Amino acid sequence: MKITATQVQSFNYFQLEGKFNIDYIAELQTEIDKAMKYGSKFFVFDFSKLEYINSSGIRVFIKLQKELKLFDGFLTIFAVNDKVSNIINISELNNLLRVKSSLKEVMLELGYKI
Amino acid sequence: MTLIKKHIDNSLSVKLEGKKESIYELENLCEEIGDLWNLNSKNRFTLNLLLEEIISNIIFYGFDNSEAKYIEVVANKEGDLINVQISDNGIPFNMLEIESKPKEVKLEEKEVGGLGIHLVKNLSESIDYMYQNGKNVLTIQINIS
Repeated sequence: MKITATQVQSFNYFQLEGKFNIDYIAELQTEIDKAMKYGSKFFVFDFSKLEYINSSGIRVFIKLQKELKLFDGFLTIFAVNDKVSNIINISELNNLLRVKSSLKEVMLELGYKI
Repeated sequence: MTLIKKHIDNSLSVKLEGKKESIYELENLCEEIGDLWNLNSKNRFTLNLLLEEIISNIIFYGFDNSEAKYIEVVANKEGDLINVQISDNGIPFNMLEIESKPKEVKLEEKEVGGLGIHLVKNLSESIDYMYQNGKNVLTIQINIS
């Protein structure tokens, strides 16, 4: 899997590409920890190229959401494919964080004019 | 790489060591199964996820240190159903006895391991468990229609 982490406007933008399996949990967690320490508490994850996620991967987002609650942070994911979306829905992660269809929708929610 | 055996009855089997590295073998196994039975990407995804959740659970929580650890996977296809039998010589564990958490229990409060079992229960057509001859034997069915 390829993890790309950048700062866009006032939020942390992560793109996840490929299969998010057990090997990449520590790597993504390190990137998230860095962003939490030095960056904004707004996190946006682009899932458009994410092909696979399991319960360990879902847990990374549960943990992040819990941490962000303490800082009035913001976590959203967008462009989730049907297979990954099914796992997110069964896990009830969709009840815990925002799931949007596009970056445009995310930007509008964050108050940016497109 | 672990040898995946193809049998005359069109079933597949593989014997994995009970260690973390075996999880990496699952993608190959799922590809073999997917190619053999022409599974679409959704069914390959489901198969891969189910095997990864079950076998990770066995490897990380199912063994003590006093035994030669192994996990055997046997898969066959009957019509629109794929049957996968996963047996291991670890600590007796029946995931069917783990109650699904009620909706009102917040996701972030569910314990580690519980989410994987929740996924397995929801993605499988059926699940059977028995403890026989010192082995956990879990059989799941996946509907590929």
